[in-house]
Amino acid sequence: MAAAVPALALLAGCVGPETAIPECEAGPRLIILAQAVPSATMVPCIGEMPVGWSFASLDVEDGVARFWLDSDRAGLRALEVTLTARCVTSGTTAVDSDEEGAQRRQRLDSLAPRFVGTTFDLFTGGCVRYRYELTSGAHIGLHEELHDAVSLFPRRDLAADIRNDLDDDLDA
Amino acid sequence: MATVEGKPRSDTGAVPGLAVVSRTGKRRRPSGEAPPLPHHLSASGWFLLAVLSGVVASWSLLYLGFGTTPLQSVARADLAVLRAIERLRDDAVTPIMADLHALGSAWTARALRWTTLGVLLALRRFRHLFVLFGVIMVVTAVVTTSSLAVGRVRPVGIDIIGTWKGYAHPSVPVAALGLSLTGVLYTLVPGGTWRNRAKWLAAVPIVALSAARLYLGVDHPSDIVVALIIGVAIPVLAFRLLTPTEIFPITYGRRRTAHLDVGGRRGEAIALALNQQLGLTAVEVAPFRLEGSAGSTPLRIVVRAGPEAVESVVFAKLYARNHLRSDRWYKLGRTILYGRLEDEGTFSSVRRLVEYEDYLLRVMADAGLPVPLSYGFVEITPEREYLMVTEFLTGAVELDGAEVDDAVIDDGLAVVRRMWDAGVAHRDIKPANVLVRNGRVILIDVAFATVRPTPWRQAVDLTNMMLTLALRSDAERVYQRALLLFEPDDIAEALAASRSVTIPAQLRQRLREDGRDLLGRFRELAPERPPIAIQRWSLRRIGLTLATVTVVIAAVGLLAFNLRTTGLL
Repeated sequence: MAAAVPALALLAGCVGPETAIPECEAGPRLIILAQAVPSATMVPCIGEMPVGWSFASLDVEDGVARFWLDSDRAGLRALEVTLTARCVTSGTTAVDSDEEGAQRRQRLDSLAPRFVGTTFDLFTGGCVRYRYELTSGAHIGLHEELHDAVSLFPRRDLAADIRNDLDDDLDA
Repeated sequence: MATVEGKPRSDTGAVPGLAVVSRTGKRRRPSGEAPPLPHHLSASGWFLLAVLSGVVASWSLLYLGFGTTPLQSVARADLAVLRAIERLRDDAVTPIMADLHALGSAWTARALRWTTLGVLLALRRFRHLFVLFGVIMVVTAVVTTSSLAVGRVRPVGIDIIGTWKGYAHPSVPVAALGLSLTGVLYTLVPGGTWRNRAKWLAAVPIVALSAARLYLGVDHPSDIVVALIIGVAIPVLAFRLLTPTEIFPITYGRRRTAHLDVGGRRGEAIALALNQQLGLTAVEVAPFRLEGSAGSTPLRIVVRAGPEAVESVVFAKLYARNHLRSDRWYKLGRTILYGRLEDEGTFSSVRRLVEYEDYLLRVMADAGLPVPLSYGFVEITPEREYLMVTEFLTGAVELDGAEVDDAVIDDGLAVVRRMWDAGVAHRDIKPANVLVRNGRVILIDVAFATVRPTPWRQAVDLTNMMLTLALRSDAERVYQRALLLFEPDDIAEALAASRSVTIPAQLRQRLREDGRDLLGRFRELAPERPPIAIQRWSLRRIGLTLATVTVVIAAVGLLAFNLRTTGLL
């Protein structure tokens, strides 16, 4: 037992939370997000992680998938990304979206002392909510970085990957 | 000032008047032959270990990117099974399966684990408790880490109609339920028939949960198989290795759980070891005055020895690794609280501990001190369990129950005088360790004794003997008799060195029950002397204290973290 604990600690060191990063490529790390919300035609993914940002953790279950990013300037879990089938967007205003097939809406809760707000990407069958709490002053750069880091990945590409690998469908 | 001469030993090596056991028929254990009580896994244990190793090897290959093709084959087979089950879904069965699925909730595992841990705590079955807690941590870490590493998706192409959380492989709820029920089986249910029946009972909820998860389409069959291997195999292996039934049986009779069981395989091993190593044939092995021993397990063993197979009785003390750990913690605590009061280090192994006690018995006997004759010790399990064998002091009674007259007082004080002259300290003089037989004092339990002790330690022995004797007489009488063997200054020094902490717990308790301030009365009688400081500061003590505080804080933090991650909170 005494030997097992350090061995497991070593193993856990090799298999950290970054193992679960839902990168923007077809594969199980992204498919599990799609399974959480079967109606969603797109799922959030991490493209290129900007300098100073790191993946914190992933929490996925039926109905909702959520992951967090840490920032060396904005702090731990500065960004929370949540995929659900629907979102409540009251009090938001429409803004330009760089994601094809999605409408973007935004709500700012506070500008100082912290820049706190929520952005929604709405698309067929789903919604991605970005909840951020950033350092005022540096928030413009940080806000741009986080939207550069997280993109939307089409469900049909994930389904094609499953068909290719297992000759099966992603959804029933 | 009187001089006390050492008592000569008889030709046979025994103190005159004490029972002598003759020994024949000793046998050397040939190389490769198992010790009396081997420490090993059974065939089923090796099988479980092999299966577990296979799972770990498969995971490693998958994690490193090999074995994708076999994985696809397994995945296709899994999906074929799930599709077949999906076709069997029925509106009447689905609600039942959804209810059975609740067996896999975190609350079920939490309730089972806390109840088991609570019962173990109430029964003071600490070894099982710590092993269970460790197993919960290890299995949870294995399941969490492997789930993250493998990252398997939920069944694709299947209509998932149950709730789920996280990756699919291994099935976390099945592993958790398997672990919780195996924990109950191996810590609370007596081994043998009871446990074998209970295994079938425990299998019912596990099978029900597994069936429900397959029916609802949340897990693949292979996720469940691997979860069962981890959730059941790891605990079974851990319990078999760390709390083997034959050595740590689960019983619900009236017995001191701190002591080792001497029935079953251990009892047979003791008999075998005595026969092979000391040439004694054990006829009966029975615990003896367990209530008087806080550490080792004292035994009264009826033996047959010699060409005429004469029956005799020996006394034995069974030492195991838990006694060694207790000794280490005790000494660490004393060092932190008082500095290097104890003037000694810890034992590196059980073998060293029994070797030391055997050595001390012989040194003290050679010095003419009245101690039981040592017959040596036998090895039960190498480096794990040893049995110290001495003569049985037939007819001796603890000082608590003896008639204490001037002769007994003189004899008790003379024993201390002789220890001073021989350069030995007993360090645990209390009523339970001072026996009286035929009006003569005999010292037992010399495991804490030391050769060439500090003068302070020798002085403390005198106070404790005076207090022990005064409990059965009075302070004035004991003090007057002490003046026949010790200088007044020696007695004053001994009394100045004594504090509550230097008095063994049993003696302290007896003094409290007695009500008289015997120590105070002795101090009034003896020449005045300022108290001797017992706090000893050193860099080692400061370092140990800081290290211990750090470790305790870290351990509390780790415990809180683990309680949360293992689903206990």
